[in-house]
Amino acid sequence: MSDKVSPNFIGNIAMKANKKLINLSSIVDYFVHPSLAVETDRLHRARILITGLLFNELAIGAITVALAILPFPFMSKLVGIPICLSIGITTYFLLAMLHRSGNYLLASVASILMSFLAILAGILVSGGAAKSPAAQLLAFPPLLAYFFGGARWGGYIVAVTFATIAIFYLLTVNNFQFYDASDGDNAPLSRIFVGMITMLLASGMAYIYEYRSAELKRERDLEQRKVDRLAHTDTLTGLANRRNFDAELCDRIARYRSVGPQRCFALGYLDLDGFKPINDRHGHDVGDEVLQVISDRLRYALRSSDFVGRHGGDEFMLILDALQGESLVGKKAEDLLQLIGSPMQTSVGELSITGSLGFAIFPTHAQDAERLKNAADKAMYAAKRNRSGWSYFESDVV
Amino acid sequence: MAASQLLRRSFTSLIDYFEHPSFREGAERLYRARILIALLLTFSALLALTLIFQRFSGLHVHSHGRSELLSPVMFVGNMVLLLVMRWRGSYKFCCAAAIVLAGAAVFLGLIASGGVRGSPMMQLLVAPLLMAYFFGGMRWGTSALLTICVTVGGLAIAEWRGVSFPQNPGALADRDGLQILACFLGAATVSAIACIFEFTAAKLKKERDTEHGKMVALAQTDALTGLANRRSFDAYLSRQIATRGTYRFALCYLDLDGFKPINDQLGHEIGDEVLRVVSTRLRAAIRASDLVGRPGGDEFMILLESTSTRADLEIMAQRTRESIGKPINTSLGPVKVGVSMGFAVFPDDADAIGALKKAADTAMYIAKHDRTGWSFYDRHSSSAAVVAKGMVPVSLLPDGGGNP
Repeated sequence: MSDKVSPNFIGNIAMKANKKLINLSSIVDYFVHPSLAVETDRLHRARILITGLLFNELAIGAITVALAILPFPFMSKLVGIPICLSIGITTYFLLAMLHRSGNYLLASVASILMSFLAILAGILVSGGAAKSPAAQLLAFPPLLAYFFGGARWGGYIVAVTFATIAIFYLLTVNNFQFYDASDGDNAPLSRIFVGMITMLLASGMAYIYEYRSAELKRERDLEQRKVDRLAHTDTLTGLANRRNFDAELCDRIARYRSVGPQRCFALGYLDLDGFKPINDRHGHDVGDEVLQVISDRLRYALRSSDFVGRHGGDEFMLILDALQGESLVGKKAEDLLQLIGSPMQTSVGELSITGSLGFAIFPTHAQDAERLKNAADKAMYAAKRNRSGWSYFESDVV
Repeated sequence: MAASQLLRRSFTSLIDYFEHPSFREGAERLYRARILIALLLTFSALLALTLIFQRFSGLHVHSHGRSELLSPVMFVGNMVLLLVMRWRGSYKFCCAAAIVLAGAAVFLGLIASGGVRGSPMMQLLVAPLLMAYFFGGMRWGTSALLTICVTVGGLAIAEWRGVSFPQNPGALADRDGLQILACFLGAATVSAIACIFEFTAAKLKKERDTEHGKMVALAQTDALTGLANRRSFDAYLSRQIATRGTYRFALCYLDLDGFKPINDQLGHEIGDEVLRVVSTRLRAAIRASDLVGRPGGDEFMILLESTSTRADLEIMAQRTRESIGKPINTSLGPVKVGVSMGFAVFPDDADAIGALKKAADTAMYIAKHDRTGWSFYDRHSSSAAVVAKGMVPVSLLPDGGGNP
């Protein structure tokens, strides 16, 4: 299945984002490799990943500066600054890679592992999973992995996380003493603080998922509508296509039959005379123009309860509601033929074309769609043969 | 393998049992309702296990009376919600009730096990939050987040002001173990809900891509025969011309002889049947790398890849002619149509799409006129001959002629 999406999806997303956060979005877009922009879902996730990495870079920078300037113990500085610097450099390389080669999966897996290792390190230096407030953050890597890496990477990271927790449990049960750099007094407070952060992160993720789902649903419905339209209309003229017209005809016959004998309609068969020479002389493009003009004229001439479809080639079919009797049909036919016959402007100058119309009446001439169409078809051929413009079905016409 | 399948099937049928018929109205609603039922069932099973564990292990000796009541109450609540889902089908109500139930359980647990400062239950607060996001959307999720923050803040202030929350003596004894258990439960809940979210998004994406594929297929094919329509054939042809350079390929214009009388005398339905059969035969006559299109009416176009010599093309033409010339069985009995083919070779005869098509068209007209079945475009002889015979419109000549 093709993964390509028409560019206006992406355009829409970019426009929407631009309205909200013009600066951030243009910075984020700078890092998006063109190969990521072929599919909306991938683009969306890549943009979120880049945003996350950018914020990470900023936060790491701030922490490094704080560690360097503020009066922390020497040991903290000695351990903290290299760790922060290495995370910052890795993040920078990931961003550069997304910009240069667009390797989304590698970047996302690396980010997930980075976050996992950072949280693990945090737990290890602050008293192990039983004591450390950072243990609550262990729920975060699986969430990230599901979002950025899909179900497979999500599963892997879940397994790794659970294994880590199990190891912590075994170590705790066996009275392993973890190093604890934090001062014990602040533990409950930082626990609450970390709990809040976890909840905010989870909310953010849920928000993104809900937003994305709504977006995907919208795109799906849009495609569904397009499929519907394409399946029911003729692409060139926008009129009902043959299948749609046949369905409408059967539907209408069933409806009118159930209402009673007083409801009737005329089925008209229209064939253009001299369309093939135009097509041959001026090319298919001009032929298409002529068909479009004729379709527009037919649409204009019909009432809302009428129905018109293109049967293929230069043939059209009309349902004219509540029309009966030769004189009324004749009047309508003359109107239609005059409308069709009037000169039209095309790209190769003025052209004019005439049509032949054949009519059959439901329920007078036939009771079912097949016979009705046959009757109208025969009437149309009679009109064509006699060069009379239009004709009304008579059972002896062969 | 069989056991896991059986388990899965029985779980699915259990979910089906609790489904209200009204959920079937919308696919999205049904999907979320089923997940809610599955979640309630899982909770109930877990609670039942806890009850059994409490009954038969020594833990209940130490535990507080109040906290021991929590599990049965939760279990009954879940069961009631499942039955409401089955009988009344009130999805929204059940969602809200399930979220509130989960939130209340976590808070009661929090209060019963030492308050926000000490309780391991803090880590489970994300569960009702994520449930609210999934089942209720943005609005419920945000309200759940606010509610949780306010309540935790209230509890913290109460603690700070000196209200003491009773600590479960049993829990106090095995505090580290419980802390890690809570850590595991928190991670498991978040992972499960992330998995559900991801699954939902993937499902939607697949549906979208399927619809998109259908749309593309509809837009590119002729509805009657399933062949490429004129627009997509032209697009393919111009892509070929743009990418092939001087690599040769042939374009064939194919027009049926004797189709119009069939259409006129036997009706359009029969004409359509004939066109369908011809399309099938054409598709069978070409190789996988070639492309057949139907620009409309009784005309077809074939793009023949890497067919360079006239001998090759003649073999192909002969084969096609024989296959199409066989009687076609329609619902009104067998009919026969003939075929006229015109070939033009890129880049020998023309190197632009318009000229190439005109060359093939001209060759086809000559074949039709001379009743030879097929003909090749010849730049030097055919244009003069054609004009002399007056059988091809001047504009069809590739050198421009009368095209305004």
